[in-house]
This record gives sequence, C-alpha cells and structure tokens, in this order.
Amino acid sequence: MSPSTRAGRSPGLTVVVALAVLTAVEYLVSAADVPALLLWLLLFAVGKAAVIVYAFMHLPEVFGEESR
Amino acid sequence: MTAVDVANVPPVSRLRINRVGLWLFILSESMLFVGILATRFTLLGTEVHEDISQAVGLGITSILLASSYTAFRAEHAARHGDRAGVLRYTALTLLLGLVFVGGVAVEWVEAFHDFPPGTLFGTVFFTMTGIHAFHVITGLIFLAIVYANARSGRYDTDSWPVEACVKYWHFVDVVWVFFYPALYLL
Repeated sequence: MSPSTRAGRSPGLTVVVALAVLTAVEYLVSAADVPALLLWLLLFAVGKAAVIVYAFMHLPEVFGEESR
Repeated sequence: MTAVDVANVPPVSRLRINRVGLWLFILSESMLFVGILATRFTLLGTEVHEDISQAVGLGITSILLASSYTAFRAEHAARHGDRAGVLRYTALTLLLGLVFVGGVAVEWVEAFHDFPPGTLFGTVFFTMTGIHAFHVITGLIFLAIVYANARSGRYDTDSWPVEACVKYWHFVDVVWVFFYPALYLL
C-alpha cells in the first residue's frame, strides 16, 4: 500500500460513516412519524448534501488555494 | 483587446478554470432537479405511496453513499499518481453503480404493478427515478472511460479527468440525497 493510500483512508471513511449515520437517523425519524417530518427530512438532506459537497467534492478548492 | 493563447495558459490556472466550469455545469444541472422536486411536491404534496419498497429504497441509498466513498478514493489515488488505486476504486465505483441501477430496475418492476406510470404517483416516481437513473448511467459510462484510460497510464501526471468524473458522480449522489426522502420517507 502506498503512503498516499494510507493517508487518504481515514478522512474519507469518517465522511462516509457520518453519512451512513445521518441516513439511518433520517430513516428512523421517518419511521417514528415525528411532527414536522418534512422539515426534519429537509434538514437531514441539506446536512448530508453539505457534507458531500464540502468533503467529497472539495468545493473550497474553487475559492481557495489550488491543490492537485 | 489582447487575444489569449489558451494553449499557453499556465497549468494551475487551467485547472482552476476547469473546476469553475464543472461547478457551473453542476449548478445548471441542479436547476433541472430542483424543478423536478418542486413538481413532485406541487402534484403530490407530502403523499408517498404505501406500497413503495422501503427496503429497496434504503438499500440503493446505502449503495450510492458507499460508491461516493470509493469514488473519493479513486480521485485521491489519482491526485497522488497511484494508478493501481485509481483502477481499483474506479472499478469498485462502477460495480456499486451497476448494483444501484439494478436496484432501481427491481423497484421499477414492482412499481409497474403497484403504481403504473399512468397514475399520479407513478408519473412522479418514474420521472424522478428515471431521470436520476439516466444520470447514473451517464456517470457509469464516464467512469468506464476513465477506467480504460487509466489502464494506459493516461492520468499518471494529469488527474483532472478523474477528478471531473468523480465530482459528477458525487453530484448524482447529492441529487439522490434529496430524492430519497421525497420518494420514500414522507
């Protein structure tokens, strides 16, 4: 395994685990049929999308310092 | 006005231009999906069909999230010149994407029986999943091209094509993050 592979595993794993937890909680909230469900689901979706856009899609690179 | 020789633009600047261009494309594509989502709520309110398969919905959502991780790893490997890593994780992403499309196909077979396209919910369901699946399939074609090119070492020094492909794949995932609750969880 190359050093770059080892260095990259941890950050990506943290993000995908966070997404899995958010999805599980989202599913449970839906199953529990809580009040204002639409608002909760919207919050979860926006949160998950923000995580993907920030951590996986590297949005800050567009505005900040370039990296390859 | 002075003419700009595109071929002589420094590589770092070209990378930034590429990234901004891709984000503008993603933004324009987002408009389509926002429109579809708005149409869904206009037509159905907060209604969800009771026969929709929660197991399939959660399953394909998990698979797509997992594929975002493998895609991230492919991009990371490309940025570090790790050709084997690019090939491994691109292949895994392709595989997970195919499983996702298979899951949608299974859902469609059931949906044709439970809520055909002629019904209101069926129209919304097949439009949303169909247009999203179309984007997944184009992403799979993109990934297959990247895989074939990576085998010949084409991205050993320039990782931008891998990055672009992976960003598009993540975008398809982001769309599903909004479509999944709108179709399955309300």
